Amino acid sequence: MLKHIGFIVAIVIIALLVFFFLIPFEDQLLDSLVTTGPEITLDFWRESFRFWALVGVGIALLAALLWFVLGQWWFSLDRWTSADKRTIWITLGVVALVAAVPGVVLTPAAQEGGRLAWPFYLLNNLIVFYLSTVLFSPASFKYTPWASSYLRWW
Amino acid sequence: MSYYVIGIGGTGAKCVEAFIHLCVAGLMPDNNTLFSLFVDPDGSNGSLKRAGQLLQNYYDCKRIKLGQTDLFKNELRIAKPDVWSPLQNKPHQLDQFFNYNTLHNNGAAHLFDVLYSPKEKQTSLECGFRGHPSIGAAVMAASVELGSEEPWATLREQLRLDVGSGQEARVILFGSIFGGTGASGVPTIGRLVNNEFSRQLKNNRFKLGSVLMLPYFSFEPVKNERMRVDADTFLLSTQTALEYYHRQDELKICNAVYLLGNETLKPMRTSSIGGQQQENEPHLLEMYAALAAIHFFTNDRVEGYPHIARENKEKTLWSDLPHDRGFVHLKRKINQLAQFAFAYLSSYHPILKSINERGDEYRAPWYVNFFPRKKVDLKISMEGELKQVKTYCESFLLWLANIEQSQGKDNSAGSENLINFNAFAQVSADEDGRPNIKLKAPQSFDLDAFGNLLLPITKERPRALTELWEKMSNAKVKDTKAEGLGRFIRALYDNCGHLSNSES
Repeated sequence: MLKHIGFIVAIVIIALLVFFFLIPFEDQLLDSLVTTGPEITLDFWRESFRFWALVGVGIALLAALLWFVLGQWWFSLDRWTSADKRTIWITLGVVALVAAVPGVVLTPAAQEGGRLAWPFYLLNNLIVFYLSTVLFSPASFKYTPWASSYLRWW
Repeated sequence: MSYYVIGIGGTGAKCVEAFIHLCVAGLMPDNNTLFSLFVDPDGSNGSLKRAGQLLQNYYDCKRIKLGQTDLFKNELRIAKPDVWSPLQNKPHQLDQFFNYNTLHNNGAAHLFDVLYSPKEKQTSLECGFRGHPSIGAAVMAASVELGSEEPWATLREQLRLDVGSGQEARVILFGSIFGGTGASGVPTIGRLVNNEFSRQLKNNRFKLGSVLMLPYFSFEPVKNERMRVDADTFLLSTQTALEYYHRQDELKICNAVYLLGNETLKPMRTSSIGGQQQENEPHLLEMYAALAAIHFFTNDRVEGYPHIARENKEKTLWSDLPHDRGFVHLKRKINQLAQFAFAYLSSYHPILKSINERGDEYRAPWYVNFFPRKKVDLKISMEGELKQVKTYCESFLLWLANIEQSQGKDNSAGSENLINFNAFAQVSADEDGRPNIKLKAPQSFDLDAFGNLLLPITKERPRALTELWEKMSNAKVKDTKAEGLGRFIRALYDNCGHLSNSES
């Protein structure tokens, strides 16, 4: 049980790292690349970016946690034919990516460079979901995430 | 030290079969080498064939490098030829065997006439001695040549090597006392082996034991056979044989003699004078016989006349089964092997087959860890070791199911004694309408019963197979002697052991 709790904590830590380090870095980068119009200030635009980035990361974190909970406590492997859960993992991955859509739609338009936020939204969500699942999936499904059999050795 | 196991006749072969299953389960006291040999004039006997296949299967599985584990822990040497027939390359009629025609007009011919009826003299013995130990004893005594003929020459040489190197050699003979081959073979072969080694070897290094099966099964008389085994005479034959052995001190040569019997005779499914059709289903008493052999191999001396019996006449419990380390240990080891066989057949072999056919190896993390990462070729293994393990698992579960079913008074399902066999086997009617126990198809196994394969059921464990899969996905085999595919088999067996331990 301790191991399971440890894995959940690790997943949350990945999301926190993205939140505390990657998003501020992106924010700084966008500060120098984005030009806002007369309607809004750059600070307001950046605040909006950070908010929607946080929403996206939060949803990706929930998707990763849901994957862990399902794999660890919900899915039954009594029947070997139930071992293939890649479709569910992909679906949750799509949910994590779709979590970037509100940010894309609702971040205020900028005069120049505003669309640079879009790949950052996608990247943040992808990193949280993929890194969490590839490194900390439940043991029975640890190689279900793409390429995890090359990346995970525990 | 080596252990020598000689199964004499069809019942002897079935006892060897039970003994091998218990060896696979790791119930022998150590991992010394086993040497096995069958004695039967009827080499095509179905029970013998089944036991022979099991031995070969054991031998093949033993080649998998499992490291230091209880599973298949004993090396096995199978005699060549594995079945010795006293009638090999000899006439199959008693009168021809003893050249009766050339004995005319002398005392020996008259003695022969007094001892054997014309029917006994002229009936073909290809299918065994047909419940006539008087024929078997004469043929056996005239045929066994320990010095020159194989496999006796190898057996003798091996025994000599063992004792010569300061080790002990223990020989156990299995046979029935109520039939023909066993009743005649056990004392005759026992005496011949003992005579050979009591002269040449130090007695304290050579020990001989016998497991004699008293009547415990019956069958319908075979029609249209003028000389046949008749189950109605089993008790009388047994009484006569025991009195004879007692009078003649035939069994005094043995360091230990085990006599096993049952009050009720279990009707066997088939009736046959011999040949492939004489394939009798396994019986609980053969498991007792195997446990007797383990007792003999474990203990330096068998003092006095120990008796064991069931606590309850109507039911057999695990606590009724004797083992030097206690019935809990025995039950745990059988449970571990049963779970291993069940899991392997229901989950692990099928998904390996699926991965071999369509890929998608991510479905089974343990596969990635034990096969590609350890450079074990699945395609080759599927046709080799994995197939051998599957064959063994099937024979073990079928044997277990028969052990349980043998305790029913008739051929219907058993009354829940030791094994929850409905989880993996079912009783169906054969072509003649007689009940026949068969393994279910793996997809029909009752997977919820995985945690409760042995009786009584103490608590439900519906996710036991899921737990095993998770353990397997994290499993590591630290034993450096386990190699290749052996690491996977070892991990599965060990993890079934962890489940068994937590259950007991």
